[in-house]
Amino acid sequence: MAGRAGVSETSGVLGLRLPADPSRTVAAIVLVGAAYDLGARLGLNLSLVEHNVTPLWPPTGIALAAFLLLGRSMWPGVALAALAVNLPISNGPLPALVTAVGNTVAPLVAAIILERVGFRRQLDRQRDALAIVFLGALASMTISATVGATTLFASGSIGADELAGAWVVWWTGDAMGILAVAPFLLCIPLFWELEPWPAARWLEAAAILVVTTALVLWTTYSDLPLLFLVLPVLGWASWRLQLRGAAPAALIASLVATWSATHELGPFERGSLLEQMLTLQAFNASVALTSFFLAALVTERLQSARALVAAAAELEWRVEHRTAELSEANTRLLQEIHDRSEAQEQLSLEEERSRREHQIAETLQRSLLPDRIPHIPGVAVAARYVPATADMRVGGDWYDVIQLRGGLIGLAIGDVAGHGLQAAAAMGQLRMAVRAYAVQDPSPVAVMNGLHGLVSGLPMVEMVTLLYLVYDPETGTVRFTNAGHPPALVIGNGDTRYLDGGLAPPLGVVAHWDYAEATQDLRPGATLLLYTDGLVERRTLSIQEGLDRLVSQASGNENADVDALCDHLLSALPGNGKVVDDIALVALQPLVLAGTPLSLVVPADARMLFPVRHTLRRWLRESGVDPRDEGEILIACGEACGNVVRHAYGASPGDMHVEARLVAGSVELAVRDQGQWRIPADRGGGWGLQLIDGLMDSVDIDSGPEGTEIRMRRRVLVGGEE
Amino acid sequence: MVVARTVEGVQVVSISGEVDLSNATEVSDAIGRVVSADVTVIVVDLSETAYLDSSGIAMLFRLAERLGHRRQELRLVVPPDSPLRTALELTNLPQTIAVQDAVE
Repeated sequence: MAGRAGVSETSGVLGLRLPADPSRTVAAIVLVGAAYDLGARLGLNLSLVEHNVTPLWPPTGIALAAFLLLGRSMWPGVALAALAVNLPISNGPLPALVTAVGNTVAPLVAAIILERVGFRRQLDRQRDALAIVFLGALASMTISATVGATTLFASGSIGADELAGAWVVWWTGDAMGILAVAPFLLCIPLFWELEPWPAARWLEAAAILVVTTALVLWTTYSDLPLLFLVLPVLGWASWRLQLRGAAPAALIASLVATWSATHELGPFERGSLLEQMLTLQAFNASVALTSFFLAALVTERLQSARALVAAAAELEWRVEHRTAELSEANTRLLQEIHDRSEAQEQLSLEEERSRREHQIAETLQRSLLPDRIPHIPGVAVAARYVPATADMRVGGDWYDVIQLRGGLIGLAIGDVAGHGLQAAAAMGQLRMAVRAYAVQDPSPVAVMNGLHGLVSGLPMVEMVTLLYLVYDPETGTVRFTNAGHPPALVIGNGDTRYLDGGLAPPLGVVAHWDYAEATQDLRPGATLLLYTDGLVERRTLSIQEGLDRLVSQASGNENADVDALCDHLLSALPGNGKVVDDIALVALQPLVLAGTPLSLVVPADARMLFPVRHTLRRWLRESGVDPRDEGEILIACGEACGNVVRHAYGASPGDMHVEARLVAGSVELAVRDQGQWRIPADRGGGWGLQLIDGLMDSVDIDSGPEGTEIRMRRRVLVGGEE
Repeated sequence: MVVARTVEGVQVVSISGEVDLSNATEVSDAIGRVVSADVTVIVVDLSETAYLDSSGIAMLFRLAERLGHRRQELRLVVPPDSPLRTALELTNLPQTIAVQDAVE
């Protein structure tokens, strides 16, 4: 029966649910009826007076337990059994039927009320103990007592004066039947439903039952009213085993006590029937209340303790879980911090690397640019290089000023596409290549052809813009070819304009190109300006606007010397003090020589003889000196300079000063050095002095520890007049 | 620049441009390369020479000496209005090397 039971928590009543099988229900009804009948026989045996007054009526407890456990559909079994029990002891069938109805309705009402108040048959709460005592037993049994007592009176079994006593006896009997029997029956399914007892617990339960039986029996045979001694044992049962121990013990105690009362033993030996009843019912009530309340209390406490343990466990789990989460979050955080710090470090390394590369590239670029502009007689040259400051870039801008054979001056300015070390390195190679090609053949077309072949063979160079010019001071002309570079600017004499000819695509862009050169006059006093795009490019301006600004800034400073011009342009054009792209700038100006004394300072090098001679020639011509005088003065000056070159400094470098003045129809020349030498008497050297002597009107040689100076003078024809 | 041509057994070597300490040896070597061993007379034409200093004059002396060893004669062409004429005369060069006004 119970093995097939399901436990439902949906209602307050925890009932056993039988499967909806009619045959099983009928079997259960029959069983309930049989149990009721059995209980009734037991109850009748426990009656105090003949079969009339029964202080403990087990069938009521059986009926209530049946309704609570198996459902109210058990009522036919209860009703039929009640009828069967009452028929023999009633005055006729009608009173028996009425009494049976009362006996059936009372437990049915009790079951309904208990279900309504949410009674739990486990009796594990105090309210369940309260409910079964006051609602299930005392209140509901007034029905059966009233019906039964009234029927007795109506059928003439008792007189009116006996009615109250009969009602009380009926009521207490039914109530005690519920209190003693129903909990016991209700606790039986718990042996399957709750956690099984270990053997020790069974032993303890058996001991409790034995002690209870023995104790109650002993007190009933004792003259002393010691029935209450059983209460501590019930306390023990409730405390240790709860309902499963308390209910059987209470049942045994009640049954034994009632049995002893019916036999007027022990405490029930003396006194009237009423006194016996009072004593017995008080005892049974105490037993029931003590055991159930204590059991409920302990169960509740145990449940609370279990709930507390569960809550603590849950709390612990939550704490552990949360701790794990926190720990995980912490780990993630640490990892993130670590990652970030690593990224930061990486970034710093990158920055450091980038900064160092920038430094190296800038150093490289500066070292690859001409460390000083050659001092070219008769020509003023200035150059500037400004690295970019806006970012860490180093460009491939470069320039060069090359002194070539025949007094020619090669000028080159270019931009290698890209930035950084590679661009700087490529630029260095290109600069040397321009030098090499120009020395071989200074013509722009030859140089460009050479570079074109070179750039095509340099895998690391993508594109190179290059403007190459060769200036001939003798003729005052510039020949140039422009491979994709911003055009050079000629400033001066009221006419500032770009040199637009000789155009070609940047080097490295096309496979073949027929280079052509363009020619431009460059008169003394005018300035030729070469630059890279950084000078004219601004983010807010178009290229044309940039070029126009350069023209206007340059025109306003056409009389400035080349250094002042470069400085002015660099401060006026890029703007904001920031150089977005690097800038290279070269300015060349043939000096106006006429009308002022000539003063040249050049290295004492044989290669300088030509430019010195040519500058002097230009000075003589611009001063109007007759060509015949010119040639011989040049030879005399050349001899003086040749001596300085050969003898003044030995293998060490040193400077040579050449000064020329036109004073009162005479050219006065002075060639000076800071070396220590004596005029040698070897071949050539001797001729040198001999020539000077022969070609000039007067010669003075002033030789001392601080150097040697040769002063020469010759009367000349100026402007065709002597 | 050094250019040589041969006319009726006479080799004419023209020097154009300027000769000074910086390139005298170079010019000398260039002449040495063009001078033929088959001719008896080598004429160095200085008509187009804009400048010639003492190192150039010395170079001419040495050339004459070298050619003399090979039984070859060196002659110079110096136009009367050449700026070099005075200088050459000052070194007494015309006394050693025949100087004529033109290439015949």
